Amino acid sequence: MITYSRLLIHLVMIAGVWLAALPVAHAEADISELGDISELRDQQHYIDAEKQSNPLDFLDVYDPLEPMNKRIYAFNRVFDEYIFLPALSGYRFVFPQFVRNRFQDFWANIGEIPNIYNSLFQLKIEKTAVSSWRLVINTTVGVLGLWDPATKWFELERAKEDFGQTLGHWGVGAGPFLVLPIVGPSNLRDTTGLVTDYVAEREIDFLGVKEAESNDDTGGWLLKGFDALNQRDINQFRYGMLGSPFEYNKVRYLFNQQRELLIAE
Amino acid sequence: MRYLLSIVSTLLVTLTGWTTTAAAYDYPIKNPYEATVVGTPPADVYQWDEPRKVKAKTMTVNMGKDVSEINLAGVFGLADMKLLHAKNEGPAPLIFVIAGTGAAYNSPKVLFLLDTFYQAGFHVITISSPTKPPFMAAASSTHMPGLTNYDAEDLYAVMKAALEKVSGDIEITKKYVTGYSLGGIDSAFVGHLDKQRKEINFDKVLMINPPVNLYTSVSNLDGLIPEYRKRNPGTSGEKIFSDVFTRLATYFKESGGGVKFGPETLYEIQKSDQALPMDDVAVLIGISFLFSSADLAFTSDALNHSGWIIPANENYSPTSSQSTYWYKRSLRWQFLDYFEKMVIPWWQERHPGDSKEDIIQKVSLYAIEDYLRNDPSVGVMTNQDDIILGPGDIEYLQDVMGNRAKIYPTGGHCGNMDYKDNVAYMLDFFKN
Repeated sequence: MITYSRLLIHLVMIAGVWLAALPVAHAEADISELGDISELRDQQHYIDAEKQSNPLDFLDVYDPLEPMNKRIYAFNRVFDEYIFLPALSGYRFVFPQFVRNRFQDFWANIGEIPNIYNSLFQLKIEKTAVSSWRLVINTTVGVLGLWDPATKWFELERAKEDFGQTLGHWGVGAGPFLVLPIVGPSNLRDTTGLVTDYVAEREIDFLGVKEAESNDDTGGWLLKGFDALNQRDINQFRYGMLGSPFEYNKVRYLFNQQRELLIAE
Repeated sequence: MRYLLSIVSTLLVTLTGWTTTAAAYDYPIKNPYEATVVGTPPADVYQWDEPRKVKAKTMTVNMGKDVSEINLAGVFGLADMKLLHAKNEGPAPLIFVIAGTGAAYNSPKVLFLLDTFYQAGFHVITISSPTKPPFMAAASSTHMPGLTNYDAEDLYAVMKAALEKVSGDIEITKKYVTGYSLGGIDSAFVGHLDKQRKEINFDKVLMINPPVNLYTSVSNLDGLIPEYRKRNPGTSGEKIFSDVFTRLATYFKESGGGVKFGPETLYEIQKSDQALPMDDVAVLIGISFLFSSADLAFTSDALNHSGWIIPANENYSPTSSQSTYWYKRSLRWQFLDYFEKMVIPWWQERHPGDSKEDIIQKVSLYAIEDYLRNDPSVGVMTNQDDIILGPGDIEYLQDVMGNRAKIYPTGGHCGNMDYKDNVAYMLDFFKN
């Protein structure tokens, strides 16, 4: 609980710092154009001033599909509350933390494949080597990836790279913001990355998992379900957790910032 | 010989006594702004011998507010108020924890307090700050948060509803209430209200880093942005941000461990080459306060139809594509703007003849001074360098509360809450 909360503290604090820093950045610039805010006492003055200048540009994440995105966002919230989270509770009830950690390590190991080729595509040789070693060690010593001795014993930290990051690395911009059904916030670049990685992972089909997952039979659906539940288990985001009437704007902004950080790193 | 022995032992006792009282307070961060942002380094956090895993459950209370008439359901969800509830085995004291300005029932500081009191063997229930939009919608009778006397009524109602819900489930020996920052002053107002109503009968009340004069505290926080601009003329907010961002990116690149936020990340960043300058740290506090102010001003405006942010003739819909526009408008509202434009007229409509100064008096600690002075069950823990206090505030607390006022030399605003000495003090306050 305390580790979780400490992690959350810092996630939220950093989130707060980002969220905070940006808007004010512009709010401030705005205020300077308008004069002291305390002098602005009548409402019409506010509105007129706003119409003239538009200095809070950073909040304007390019979002031409906003009406549709917002609808999908609302759908995701409801889906999360009534389907995903109850399923997650069941998942957590049935499988103790120890077992869930094995699942987590297993899927993470399968996920080394995109880490490797995307590091390579970005000519990050050290990362490519680290991810390759991780895959070799965890698949063998770690029993098909159920454990993660690469981190524990060899201090080879997991370095996540996806095709969206690769595109970003070579200068591709984020493009329009997109909210994907169930998956959540994304943008055109990262959605392209997501699809590319999906196809590539299926082609490579490490340990036969992705092929099995795509089967339209009980096993395939079970695997898909486990994959999704594992991801929801790791993801600590909860709709409404910001308790703000501007959650969509904050999430939208924060998502892009977080992606930029990952690309820069 | 015996005489000599007794002299030596007296001397020893005196000496040990002296060393104990003079034992330096070693909270490591000396700058109050940095302390406020960074908190306590993990190595100095209070450690339990055998910490247990907290199983806190979300519980809801319905205060019967009709939030459907306002078209904000898509934003706030349901009319149910969410709380966290952690129960210990067997009979135990129950403590309510009230969050600070703009913070929720599950925000990091609240979770820290929940964990602390749970480890100490208490049942715990945590409540969002009345300034948090979901509280404003689901539990506020005024939708005008920050008026501590009215907020106390709402909090009291929520607490009674929560008590009713858990009463069959847990055995309660004593009842406590605490809170930090605005939640600190809230807990004292709740304690004071309880003395009149006698419906809960709290045994102890602890304020953690509360404001003394609400107006002073809010002015201090609002002022961080203009002060920064005075010291750094020509520096745009955009530049502050891009600096912060570049530092984060550089830090993560150099650390080589990926983009990860652990318990020590902020502290590590401040120790690294990428440490933020103190001036930037201070303005970040101001900025994050502005964020809370904007959220609450917007929500209050929407719920009260006051027409300041959403003009009376315009419709707000949470799914409209105009949200960025509304957000930008709201970000012009610092807390004092909210106070001047929305709160004062609202108050004066209900209390004709009250001046601004009267209102400030009635929502600050002065309003409950007799209670604070005479009731031995209420205490305060705060810091000499708390950035939300003004000149004379510490002396006021010491004068009114005497040895029930625990003042630490450093820690900024709530930065040392989880420091070992502070946790020990809190536990001692409730347990003895």
